[in-house]
Amino acid sequence: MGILIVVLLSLGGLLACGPGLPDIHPLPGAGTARLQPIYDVSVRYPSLEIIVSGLSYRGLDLDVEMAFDESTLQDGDPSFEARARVLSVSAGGVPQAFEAPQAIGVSGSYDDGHIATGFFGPIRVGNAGLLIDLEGTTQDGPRRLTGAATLYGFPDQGTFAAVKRRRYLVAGSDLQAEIGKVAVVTVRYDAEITIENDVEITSSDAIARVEDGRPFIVNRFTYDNVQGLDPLGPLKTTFEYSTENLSNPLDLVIPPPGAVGDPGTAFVTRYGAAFGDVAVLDLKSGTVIDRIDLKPYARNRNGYPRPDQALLHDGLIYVTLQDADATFTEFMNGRVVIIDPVLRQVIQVIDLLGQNPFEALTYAPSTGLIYVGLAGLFPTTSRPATLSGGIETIDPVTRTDRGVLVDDDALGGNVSGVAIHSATRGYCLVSDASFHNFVKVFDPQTGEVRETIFDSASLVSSIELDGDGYLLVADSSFFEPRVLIFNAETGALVAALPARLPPFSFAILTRSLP
Amino acid sequence: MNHLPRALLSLALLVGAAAARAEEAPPPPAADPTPQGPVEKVEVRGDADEAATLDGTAFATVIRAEDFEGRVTSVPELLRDLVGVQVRGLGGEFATVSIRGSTAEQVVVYLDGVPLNRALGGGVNLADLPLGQVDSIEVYRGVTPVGLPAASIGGAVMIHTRRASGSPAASVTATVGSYGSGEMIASVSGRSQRADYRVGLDGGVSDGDFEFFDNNGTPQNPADDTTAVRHNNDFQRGHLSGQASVRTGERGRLSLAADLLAREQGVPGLDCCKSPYARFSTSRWLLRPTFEMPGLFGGRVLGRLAADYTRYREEFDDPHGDIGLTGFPTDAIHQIETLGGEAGLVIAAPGRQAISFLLSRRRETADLADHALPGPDDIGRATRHTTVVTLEDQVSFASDRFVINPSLRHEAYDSDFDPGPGGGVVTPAEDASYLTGKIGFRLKATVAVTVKGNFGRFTRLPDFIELFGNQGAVVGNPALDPERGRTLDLGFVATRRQPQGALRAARLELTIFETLAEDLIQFIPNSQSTVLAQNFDRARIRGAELTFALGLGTRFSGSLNLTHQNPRDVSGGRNDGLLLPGRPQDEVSASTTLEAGRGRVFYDFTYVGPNFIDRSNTPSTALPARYLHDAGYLLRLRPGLQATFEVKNAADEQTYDYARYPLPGRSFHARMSWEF
Repeated sequence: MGILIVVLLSLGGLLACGPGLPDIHPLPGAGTARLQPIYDVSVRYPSLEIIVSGLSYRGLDLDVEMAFDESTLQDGDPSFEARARVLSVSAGGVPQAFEAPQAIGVSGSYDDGHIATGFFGPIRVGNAGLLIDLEGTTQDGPRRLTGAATLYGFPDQGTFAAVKRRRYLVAGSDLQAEIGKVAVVTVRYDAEITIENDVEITSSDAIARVEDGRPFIVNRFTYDNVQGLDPLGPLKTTFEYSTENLSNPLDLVIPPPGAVGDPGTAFVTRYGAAFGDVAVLDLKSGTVIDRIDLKPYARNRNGYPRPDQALLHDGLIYVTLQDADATFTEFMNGRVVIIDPVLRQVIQVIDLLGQNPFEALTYAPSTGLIYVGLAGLFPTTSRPATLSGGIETIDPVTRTDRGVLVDDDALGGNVSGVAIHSATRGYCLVSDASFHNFVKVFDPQTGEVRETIFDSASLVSSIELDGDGYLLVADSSFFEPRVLIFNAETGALVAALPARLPPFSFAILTRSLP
Repeated sequence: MNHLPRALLSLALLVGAAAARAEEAPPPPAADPTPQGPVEKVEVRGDADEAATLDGTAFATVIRAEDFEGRVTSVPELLRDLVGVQVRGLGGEFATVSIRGSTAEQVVVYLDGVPLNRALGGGVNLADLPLGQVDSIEVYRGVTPVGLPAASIGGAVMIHTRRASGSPAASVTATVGSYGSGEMIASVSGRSQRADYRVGLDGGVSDGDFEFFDNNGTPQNPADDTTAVRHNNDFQRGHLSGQASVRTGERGRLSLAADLLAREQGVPGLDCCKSPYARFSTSRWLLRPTFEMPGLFGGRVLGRLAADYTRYREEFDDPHGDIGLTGFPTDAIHQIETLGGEAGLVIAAPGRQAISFLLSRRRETADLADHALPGPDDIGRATRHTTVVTLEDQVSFASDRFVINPSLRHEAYDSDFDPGPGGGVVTPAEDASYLTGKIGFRLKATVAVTVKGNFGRFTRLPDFIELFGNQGAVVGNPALDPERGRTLDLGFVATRRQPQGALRAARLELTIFETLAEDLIQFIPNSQSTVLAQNFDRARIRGAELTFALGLGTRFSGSLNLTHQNPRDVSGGRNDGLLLPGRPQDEVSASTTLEAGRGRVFYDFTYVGPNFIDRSNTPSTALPARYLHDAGYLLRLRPGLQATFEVKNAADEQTYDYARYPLPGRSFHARMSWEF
């Protein structure tokens, strides 16, 4: 009896084995697709009479999303391909049911600011099958399109207004688990702002980037990989390539591929003590095929260059070096090395006047300068803050340091973010000795420090300009995390979006017609 | 009339004296050793209640040396199979215990009556408790007996080391197993009319080089996954344990317990981000003299005095900063000393009452240094004084059929940090004191059925790191309040025992519980480079525990433990209502033993349900359920000599307690022991 029970229990237990190894689903790889310009198109036929379900309405409005095939816009040929998706239809101001393919193929032409879509559809509203043709011109650069809208077979002439859709990739983490997640903020018609949370899983120490028209996540220390997201779909992972264990990748840039169909090569800064280089990562194979050693450019006692941010400008890669020792107690003045990505060599070193270039390296077309944010030394429990940083500028033409533009003494704290909106308005992120955080305005040419547009006792992780007039601020409060959107021209708050996880890093997904 | 006070006094003798065992001070013949329900002896591991004498109303489980005799096992493995208990390990010599969904810090672990939890922070590493010299383990779920000097929200685990046997004896045990593991245990004991002694020595080694699934740090990319070998996961351990006692006068007994442990081990790091260099070493000295005076004032008063001294030295050397998120190289040396004293008194009062009183005063210092710091390496000294006063009135009614034991615990503490040349400037913490309490009842509804219930409030004091920060990314917050917990449980125990027949013994225990923990302390990022501990979280854990033990005939024993819990975040924030990470909702363990001639076959099954690793409960990253099977055979070669062969994790499951810390797969072990 007893032995039987033992045997039965053993068999039962063995049968109740776990789920076993997970199924293997290979990722598709880096591919060559790019983010698409997406425009929200409002099509109006104000005088059109339409009967739906026996009721007569005057006026027809359609809300259409149009996503352009990036490759057909860049091929030098005016013709393009796009996908249109009808989001809503209303007749006489009343929402109506409609039928339309999920993605309507559009073949049109775009040249010299003039767009013509040709007829696309059908869009069935009631018994009417609508075919739409849009023809117009760009306004406000390529940010808006306006023009005439024609319905096939109907004499009524309508209008359309298209607005470039803004999209932001937000890497978030509560730093309580091994994982973080990305969210996507969408701005339609410059007014309708929504956030979609939990779009994809990342590490809990993730940096969002868009390079070469593709979204990436750099998963930093102890995750040590570059994660590529599908630029066309719902931003799911298409590849995840290790940059080698304990390499601590912090940033990447991708020069345009040299050949059609080539997914390109990423240059990844590797901060880890045993690395201290820029890795050359083949996005096709996912392997590190070369490295540019930066240890010769470190002067601290341990010889750790601590490469942080990377910027691709005018065909060259600028990399900031924090030049700090193993214990982060000896910081030399910061440096910027310039790398020729073709030669894969450092071709110049620029010495900075401040210490600890930290997560802030940006080029401003409005001034023609590269701005470097230097944090100085953050306070710790055993060391007070040292304001030995600020904002310095580099002239990329002469490749020389132009000195300190804004001293951090004038800012009142450590600088951890810089964004240049225009020749007269820049923003920086400052943390003071009591860990209070500020987003301050400064003049990118004179260095004059102006007003504070936001401050918080909670962590503010990063700031980012969207290139279309908005400033994004990561309010990383653990209790009430928010993505804050400010008007970059005025500093006025546009929106405060509650986020599921505290936001830490932004990348701009918005693409524009040429 | 005298029967009850004597019984209560016998119970109270044990109150506050984890080291005081019944065998040392046998009660008068007329005395019932405990006023609890019937004691059943069902020969399976983890008998609920048996000899859990510190609190007769608490839901407790006791593991005795007989339960694991001849087995190749460890304290974490034994605790893992208990109802309501969860053990989480890192795949090497580190494991912590959680009770009813608590954190590891919310469980106080005692060794021979000395609390091992340190004010420096963190839960007690169960690997610091070698099983070779252990006599029994008591686990109190949800409540802490009033006689213990430290309490917390999850409950208490008490480890009792072995004492002298009735006649001079010695034993030697040797074990070898997979991954280069081995252990030697030896002991000798003796007893005279007035004194006894026991000395035990054990040592263990392991390479810890098991194979595991390595995703190369890219969990979404299966193309680069491999099977790797865990490196730098070895350890060496030596342990000396001894007790001696002597009778003084007619009633007094003076005893001394000593425990010395030294261990050196590798710290392998995460699954992908291996650290070939990081090492950790620890040594522990523990001394505990106790003086007991039963039968004072005509047998109506029991007195007890005890002191303890504990000294830890720990060194964590991570020369390349591979471990942790800061990337800082570390050579941290902590020297922790604790000096404690206790005075306990039990008075048999009129009205069938036993009033017990405990005064405890402890002083803990932690000297912190980091040799990796450039310049001065003396970080400073943290100090905590704790004073605890407890009072309990146990009242019996209807010839012990109904017992209640209301109690109060007043706890006062002050913490201070004196920074050294290598330390920073901190704000002194404020002194604070708290009054908590507990009330329990036990009703013997029938001869076979006992109903019990408890309600109590407990706290966990903030630790030094939370209060004072560290030299890296943690900023101190001296304004922290203790974590507070309210626990409630109710259940029944039904037993049946008959010396003859197929059903030799059966025992069923069913308990429901709820714990509401408030002001939980979490580290919150407050700047680009720092985190700050804050009180803000709130959690509610509801659940049920079922234990069923069975003895059939003379050869078969079996037990089944089921735990279901519903641990929810009730902080009111964005994760409100979601499950707490790292707490599986369901756990099952089953054990069977079959005696066959000179041998014994045994089999253990453990199921741990899936659990989330993040507060937002992401399904795709949850740790999967695990099904573990251990089995073995013990053969008695001759009297006193036996051999055991055992296989663990027979199905070779790749499992994790913490994401990214793989646990060993299948392993084989052989053991030979000789008592003479």
